[in-house]
Amino acid sequence: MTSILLVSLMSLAIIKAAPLIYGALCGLMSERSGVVNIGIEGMMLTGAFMAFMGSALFSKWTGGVFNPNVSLVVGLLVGIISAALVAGLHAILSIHYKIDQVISGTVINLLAVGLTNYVANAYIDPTHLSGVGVFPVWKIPLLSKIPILGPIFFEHQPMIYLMFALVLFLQYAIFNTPWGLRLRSVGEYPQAADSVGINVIKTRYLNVILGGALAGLGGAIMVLESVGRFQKLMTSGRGFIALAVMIFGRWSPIGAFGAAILFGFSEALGVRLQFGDINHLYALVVVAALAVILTSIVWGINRLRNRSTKGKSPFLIGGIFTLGLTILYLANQVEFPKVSVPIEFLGLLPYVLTIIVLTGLVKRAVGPAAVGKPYEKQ
Amino acid sequence: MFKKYFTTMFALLFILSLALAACSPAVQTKQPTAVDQPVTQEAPQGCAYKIGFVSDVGKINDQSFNQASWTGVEEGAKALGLAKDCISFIETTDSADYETNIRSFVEEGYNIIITSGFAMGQITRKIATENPDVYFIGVDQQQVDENFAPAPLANVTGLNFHEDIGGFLAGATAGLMTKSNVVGGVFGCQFIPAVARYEVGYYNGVKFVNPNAKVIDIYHPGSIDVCFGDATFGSETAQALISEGADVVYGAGGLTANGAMITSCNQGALVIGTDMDVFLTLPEVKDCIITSALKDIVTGVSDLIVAVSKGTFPGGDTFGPSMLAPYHNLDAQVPAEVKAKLEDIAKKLASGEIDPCVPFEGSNPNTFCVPVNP
Repeated sequence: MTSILLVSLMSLAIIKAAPLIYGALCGLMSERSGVVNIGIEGMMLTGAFMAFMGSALFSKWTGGVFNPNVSLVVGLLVGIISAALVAGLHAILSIHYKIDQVISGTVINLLAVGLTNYVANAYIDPTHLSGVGVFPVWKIPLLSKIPILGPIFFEHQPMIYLMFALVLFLQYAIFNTPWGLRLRSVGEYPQAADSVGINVIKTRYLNVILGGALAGLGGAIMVLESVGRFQKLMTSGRGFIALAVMIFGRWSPIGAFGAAILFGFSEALGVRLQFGDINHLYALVVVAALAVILTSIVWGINRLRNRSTKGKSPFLIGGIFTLGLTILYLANQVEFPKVSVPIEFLGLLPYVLTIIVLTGLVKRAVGPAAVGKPYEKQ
Repeated sequence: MFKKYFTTMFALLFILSLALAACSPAVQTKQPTAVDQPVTQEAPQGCAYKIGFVSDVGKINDQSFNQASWTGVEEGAKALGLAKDCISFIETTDSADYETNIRSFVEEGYNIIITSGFAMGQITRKIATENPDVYFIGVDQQQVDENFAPAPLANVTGLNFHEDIGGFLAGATAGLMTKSNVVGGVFGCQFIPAVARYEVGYYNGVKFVNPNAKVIDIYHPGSIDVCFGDATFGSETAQALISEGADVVYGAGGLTANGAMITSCNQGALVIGTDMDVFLTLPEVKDCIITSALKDIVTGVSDLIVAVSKGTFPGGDTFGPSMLAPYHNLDAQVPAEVKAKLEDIAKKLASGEIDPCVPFEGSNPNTFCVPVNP
């Protein structure tokens, strides 16, 4: 029972987190190179819109001779490219014309909302343009047979696997390759980077546009893997949450992944608790206990890694760990009164959990030093 | 450093509100501008009535209740023989603009103002008391005071529906058609009485025909600005419902429900729609939609507009009919005995023999149920 619950919660958490992760990767690429990007929402919306238009129109114009998956791939490419173009606009405004980058991002957001709403009103609704479905679930052979982990990680649609791959690849590329070092140096101290022959302007252009392509993926996943149709304003603020996820994850792909999963998990919990088969109080206490245990484990790992006296004392870590286990044990002994938590509170869960984790786990979030400053050659 | 991000976050909040207000009412008004106004008034045929429509957060072609209300306005204007420029609409994009939007019609001298959605109920009543010579029609707005006691005003008519009846019929359909004995529902905001009534009716309807079935109802936990427009949430929720075994999914909540219905359909479940005949508005689900719980907002609004011209404007609350839409493509798959049973239930609901609105364990205590007067 508990394991089935965990599987369904975690797998829903990953699905819910995927657009946020793509969005956070977009912000990360551009901010690591020193350009603030608050236009993620607009880029995602553009990606979603163009992915739908691309797939639906391709299927309509070719008369459906191709497999629907071909249309979906075409839509995906169109979505990525158009979001990259929008990011190109952001790059030109903020790098070439040195417009305030926050304002440039705002322009992108407003532009995307206006354009997509207009075309949706003028073309999609009157013509009843129909989507071509969504990508099928790919079960990875062998791996999906692993108990618990298999169904959580290896029974998804293709763009989720792409997301896993991109997170790992970018984590490696940004922190372990010469390319990543150059990228980070441009974001931290562009004058120094320039003095050793790195082309600051080119690096920034390239990464902002690459980031746009990632945001395009984030928008496309909503159309091509869940809804199957563009709906006005369908990003519903996910681009801004992605930005928070990026900061929360301290500008690293793995961090953003963790933060987005935490967010997705608590959102999934908010949905799952409405199923009515779990005692709400019990579930909340168990989640709190798990959070406490996780905190102590992270502290422990940090202490072992630093191999110094830095970090929390072993007694504190042990104490917190035992406290978590005790709560978990007691929760299974006590009969909780049947109280249903109001739905509005369930909607708050992601934010409450984020605040708890922010205060407990994350060190001060410090972004790239040169972020937001246009580069002037001296 | 940290300070800079603080400023950025503030800027973000500001921008989010901007983005939501991007196509703000004042700009989007179709016609009442200072330039257009005299032209309309001096036009040879003139306007016997000027009719304004204020949508709830959403668009007038949202394929849901805003669209139905606006179609009703157009029909009513046609019945009165009004010219096209005697009617106009404002699309609300932010719930903070309700009052401004309604007042801008009052100031432009409109005689009949239609406001769509529960959330505008109190503000409509407030403006109506200040302007007793303007007629107001509130769709989904019960005419009650702060304590939910009936308080009719002569110039406001609330066009209401027994959503619990529509929901009950949808639930009975789901309960009779399910093979796995698990059915699901995806709903908009819980604090909107119409949505809460749909949910209670749906639950009771399933249990009435199929007491052993498991009903999983999920509300969007967000605020009024997102709970009817978050198709992605609906879609993800539908996936969770289907992996739990649900084979019939009911969607009641604008675009959120659309997302849920499309995904359920893609994954092989049957779906039931709400408010309008979803078969006609959402092409993706045409092969798996059994029916929709209709409320005839179009006729309701246009009848009330005609009533103004005849001097029979009722004031207070009126209730429109609730029914199921045709089965369309699935007509052959719905067994004859199911159809007969549903007709029987519809009759019993109309006569008050079945009470569709009994709160169940864990349901929203504020279902705002209104007893049926046969």
